[in-house]
Amino acid sequence: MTNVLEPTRDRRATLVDLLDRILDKGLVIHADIIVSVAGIPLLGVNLRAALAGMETMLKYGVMKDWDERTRSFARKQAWKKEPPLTDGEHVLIRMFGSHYYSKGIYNTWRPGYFYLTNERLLLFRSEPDEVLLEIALEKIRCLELKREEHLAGKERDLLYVFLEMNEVAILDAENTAELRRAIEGILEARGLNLEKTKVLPLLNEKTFDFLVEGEKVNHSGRIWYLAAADKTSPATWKPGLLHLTNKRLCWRSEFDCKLLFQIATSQIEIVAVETRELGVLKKKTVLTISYKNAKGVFTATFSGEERKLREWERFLRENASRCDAASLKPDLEACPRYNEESLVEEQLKEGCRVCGWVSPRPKEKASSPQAEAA
Amino acid sequence: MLDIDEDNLKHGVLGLVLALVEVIRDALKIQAFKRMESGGLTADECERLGRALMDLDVAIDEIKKEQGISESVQAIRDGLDDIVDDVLDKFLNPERWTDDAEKQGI
Repeated sequence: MTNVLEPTRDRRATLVDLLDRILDKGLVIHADIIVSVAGIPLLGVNLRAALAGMETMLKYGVMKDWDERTRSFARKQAWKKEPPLTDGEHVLIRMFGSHYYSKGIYNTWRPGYFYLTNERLLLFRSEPDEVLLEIALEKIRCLELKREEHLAGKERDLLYVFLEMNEVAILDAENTAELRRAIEGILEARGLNLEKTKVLPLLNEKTFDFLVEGEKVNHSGRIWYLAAADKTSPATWKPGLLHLTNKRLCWRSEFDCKLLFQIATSQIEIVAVETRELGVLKKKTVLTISYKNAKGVFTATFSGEERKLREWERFLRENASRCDAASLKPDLEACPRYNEESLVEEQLKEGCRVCGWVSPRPKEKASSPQAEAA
Repeated sequence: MLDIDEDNLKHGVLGLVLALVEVIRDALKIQAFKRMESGGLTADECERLGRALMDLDVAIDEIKKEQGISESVQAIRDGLDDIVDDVLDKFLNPERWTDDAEKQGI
């Protein structure tokens, strides 16, 4: 008989077990602290705290009235969990989603359930019951889906609902395409016509308020920018949006909307995607843009997904060749001895016309990844 | 080699937040059961409580699925549980401290 029952500790304790034990037994902290300097008390702390599950609290008679009050308040509220509907109104579709709320300084997505009725589109949140958004179907002028990139980098289809007075509601739902179809269906059934697609406004109007008159955005996207060191902080990577307009290339921080980088497109000298060692980030792909202004030649560094960086590289190069092909400098290299300038290709093939010096630069270039892209 | 990019940062930070939310949710669930079992709640209150906790479950699962971080959340929870287990084990069995110390040759 080896099968003797012996207590073993086979079950491992988990964080939940620990929390449960603490809440079950209750935790009481009672502390008196006096902070004194040179024997003279200056600060006093009298701390009393109790942490326990409500059931344990009630067992000891703590917070009994409070518990009763809270529950009776909830009972009186009698939440219906359904939006208030008028007579003859019925729900056609119910879907989880959110709308972009932007008033004053408060910008956020407010989640709830969309209720599409035969009269209105409602966004409703229960407990406490609140109608977050209410749109009468007659007021809808136009519907449009647009693919937007969220902060987490995921792309979603957002539904833009254009209303009277140029108002726009931006909605996100489990299935925006289905919501759109449902709205279009009920509008058609009620004989309400939609207008043709309008120009889509941007999620955050502030994103583009830096544009001057006659300026048009050609390309924009989220990208990290290496902000140069200043008096208060070292060089930092910041997330934001890079915009290429018909006049300039500029990058704006996502948090404070400051234009930290802007140059005229004609100032761009060299655009390249390369791999770099950046502190802890080993072998990071970056997009470097060299530009020239009155003070000299500078380089701005951007980072992000390699695919996006390549896209920007291609776009900027195309743009440069299109907007002022004349000002684009041929790749020249000067011989260090006679300062004889000639094309890099020539330098590499034949060497300097005077002394036969061969530029080492193109060789370096050939071994770097940017040559593959070019 | 330390390699940080947007993706594994998301797995780390969001995973940690969700793991903590899950731990709190589990603790709340246990408390909810205790309240229900004590018989102090009305049938309506039990119903409402159960539904709310179920909605919370669905919402958390939804987030995990959407962000594709189910595995990392589970890994972080296992890690936290290991730490708690280890600390409690040492706390309850002080002799293990000396065992460990001897093993490390201190």
